[in-house]
Amino acid sequence: MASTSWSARLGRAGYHQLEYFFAQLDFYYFWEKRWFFIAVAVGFFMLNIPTPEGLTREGMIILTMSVMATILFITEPVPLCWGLNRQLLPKA
Amino acid sequence: MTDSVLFIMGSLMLAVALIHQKLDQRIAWLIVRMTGTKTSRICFGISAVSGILASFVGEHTVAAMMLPVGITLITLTSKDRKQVRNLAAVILFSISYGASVASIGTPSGGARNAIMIGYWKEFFYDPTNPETYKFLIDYVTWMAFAYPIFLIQLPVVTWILLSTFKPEYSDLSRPVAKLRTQVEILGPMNISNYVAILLFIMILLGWIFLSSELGMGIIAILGAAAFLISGQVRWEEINSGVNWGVILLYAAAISLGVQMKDTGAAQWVAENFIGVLATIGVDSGVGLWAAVSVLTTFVTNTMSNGAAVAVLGPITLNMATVANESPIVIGFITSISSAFAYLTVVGTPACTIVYASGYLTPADFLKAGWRMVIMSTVLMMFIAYFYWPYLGV
Repeated sequence: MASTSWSARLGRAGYHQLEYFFAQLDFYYFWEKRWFFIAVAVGFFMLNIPTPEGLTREGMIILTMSVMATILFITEPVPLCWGLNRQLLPKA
Repeated sequence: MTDSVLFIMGSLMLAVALIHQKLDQRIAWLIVRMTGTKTSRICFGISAVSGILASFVGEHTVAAMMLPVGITLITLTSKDRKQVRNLAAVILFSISYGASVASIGTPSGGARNAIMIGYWKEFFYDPTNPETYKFLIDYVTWMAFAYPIFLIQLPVVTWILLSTFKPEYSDLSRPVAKLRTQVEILGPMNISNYVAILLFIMILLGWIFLSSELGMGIIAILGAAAFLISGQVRWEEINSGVNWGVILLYAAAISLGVQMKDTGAAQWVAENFIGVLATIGVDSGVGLWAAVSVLTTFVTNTMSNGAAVAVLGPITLNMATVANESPIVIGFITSISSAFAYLTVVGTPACTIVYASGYLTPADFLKAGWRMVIMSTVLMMFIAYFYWPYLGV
């Protein structure tokens, strides 16, 4: 029986690994967490534009953090409005 | 950790202890005994009891305690949801709007109130300058400013709800009779219930008389410790009931707010915002108050009201400084307007909790909410203009 070369075996193993990797990829995660990534993109953009007149660099960084926090507060990837855990609250 | 964060943490721990007392049917019976069986009177009673409780323990606690009260009355009237649709709307909104209008009443009514008190102290208080001592707002001072607004709103809430949703039943004698039977089966209150009520009254008295010396946070934590020591609640219950992440988030939001001030970012945003307002002529006086209120109302309907105050507080307080207005007045307007989240399900925990009952639609919130927003805003402006000057601001 002709044995396959080590390079072909390696290639096949690599292909399997790649297939396995793609099978594990969950693109819904990116959709579900889209506002988090949008907030990060907005933050990156704000930090890379010139600082407006009258605002210090530190002020710009804090403003960027506040804008990002506001986006996250509104879209709530973190459930901020609940001070108590939901299992404690009455069921419908 | 600032006193505000300790206060929010202690209040949430107390909330868990109170919910575990399971007093809902007794509260329902107490309301009915005071109001009689007429629907309009029961709705007013529900709003009043929700409001008075929420003004001290926070709206999410009250909504969680009172939702079973409302559901009990609705289901005892009819199991068919279509037959009690308007009645359910009136009763459930009496709980959520009653709690919302009350949550401005005292510092313990909501996290945002404690956050604003923290901002005043951080931004304006200077121990070496006696003139800045007025920025140390204690429990009673807060009540003097805000409690009358809640009390005046209370009957108006019932009127708005009854005129928006006309209930199918004008008398609830049958469900009240069933409720009476249920309460009789429960028997008299046990010693544990009495101890809980006594402890809570002591905490309230502590907030009123000792908060200026000890700080409200210390008293709240001591109260939670008293509930634990007396065996009213177990640590495991508090541990699983309190959303600790929220406390960390509020702590982070307050830190961010303080940094907004220290780096001058809040000042910069305030100056630019005032510049925009100046173009439409509302950069000072009542015009500025209204602009701050509208801005806060818009923001609070999109996010939790604590987060709204944490984000907007530094900006509006700086706007007050830029425009030569009193930071106390603008701070109160920001904090009180953040309770006007009547329009959306996510605006306040109380709205989210009653929505979870399944009797309401998001359209119902809009239908009653816009009337509530207009009423609350006009009333707050009226009080700010005519009453607050007597309090020395």
